[in-house]
Amino acid sequence: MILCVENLYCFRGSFAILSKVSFELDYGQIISLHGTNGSGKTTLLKTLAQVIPTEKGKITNNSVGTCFLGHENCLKSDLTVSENLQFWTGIYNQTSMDEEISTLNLKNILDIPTRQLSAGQKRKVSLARLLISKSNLWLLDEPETSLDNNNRNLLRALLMKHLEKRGSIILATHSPIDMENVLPIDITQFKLPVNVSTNQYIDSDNE
Amino acid sequence: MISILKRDILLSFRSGTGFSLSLSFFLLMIIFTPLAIGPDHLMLKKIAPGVLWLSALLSCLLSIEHIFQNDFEDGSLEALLIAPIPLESTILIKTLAHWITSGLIIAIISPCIGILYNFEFKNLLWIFLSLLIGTPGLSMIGVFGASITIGLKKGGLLLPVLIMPFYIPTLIFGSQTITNSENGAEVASPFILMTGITALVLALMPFAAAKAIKTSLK
Repeated sequence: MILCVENLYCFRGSFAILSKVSFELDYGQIISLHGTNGSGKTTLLKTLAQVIPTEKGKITNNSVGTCFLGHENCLKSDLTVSENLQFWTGIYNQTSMDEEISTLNLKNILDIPTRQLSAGQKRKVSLARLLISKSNLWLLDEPETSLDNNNRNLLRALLMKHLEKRGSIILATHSPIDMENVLPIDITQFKLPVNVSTNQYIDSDNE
Repeated sequence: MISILKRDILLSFRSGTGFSLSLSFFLLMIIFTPLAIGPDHLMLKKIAPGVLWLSALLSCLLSIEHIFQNDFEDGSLEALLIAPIPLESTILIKTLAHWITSGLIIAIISPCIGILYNFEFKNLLWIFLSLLIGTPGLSMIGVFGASITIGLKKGGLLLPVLIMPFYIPTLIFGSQTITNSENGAEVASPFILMTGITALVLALMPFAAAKAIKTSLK
């Protein structure tokens, strides 16, 4: 089991958003999170990534590394694609990024400042960061945003390759993903009414 | 960690809000003060340590606001938070990058400014040393302030109000070091006190800043 979530409460600012979230994720498995806008998909992913600390409930993460790809692309507009990727290569203690560059066909845009790239190209560079991290748990928040059909197929191929290597994925998406063995979770079942104070839940006993 | 240092220095040179802004503001302050005061050599010599330190402090403050704001807006801060590098180390390295592009440059050119203000040659070393040792403390305090104001819309206005009180001891002992050297008084006491303050903030504030960032990202 790479990830085990038990009775997790997710908080956004001073409000509780989700309650009693429980699921398990195995090696080589993919979970697809569904829900309406504002239902808490991003909050859940950020809580799983530990960007938002766990206040109540339990997350057991047995992954070698976790990489979170959010709505933003983590790119500096004043730096070139190559410089941006070199930065993340250093952060993740990797020595080379050649394989990732060729996988995502980024060779012809390496020396272009990212401010000059289209939204789809920026997303592709952001996906390269995901590959560079060599993490075995990917937490992806609408990764297909801005990608054209060809690049969506490329993304699907990347996801499948990751699963073949016993990596695991949790994916928040609005469009159904064309892959086999995807475990769908509708997170509206965990949704709390709005404006519920965080303290009310933290102070109450764990159930 | 070297990659953070390299990237931040590169961004500081490319963006136009870091290195060039700090340095030009410092030089403008230093050059314009005598124009405003008038050609009174004794008066200028007397206020020069204070002007030097105040200019260094304000130019340091000028570029500090963006130290986390850009990382926050483009998502890098969240990614760095869960990257395999402790957040405290990231903060310390970012402070070092800020100091290299502001405080260190100012310290290096400060002896030349000392000559402009008619300081004795033997005292130029104390100008250099006081800014060299004191400015890392200024950067660290500024980084701590920036970590508190991440995500605030009017953070740029709040930041100086928050951190100015923390700057006061460094400002006093830093300018006192230069004044004492010029007057032939004991230099060691204010210099050691200033060094102590720098060491203290470098040891403690990365932890406080890390806590503030984690809270801001909630």
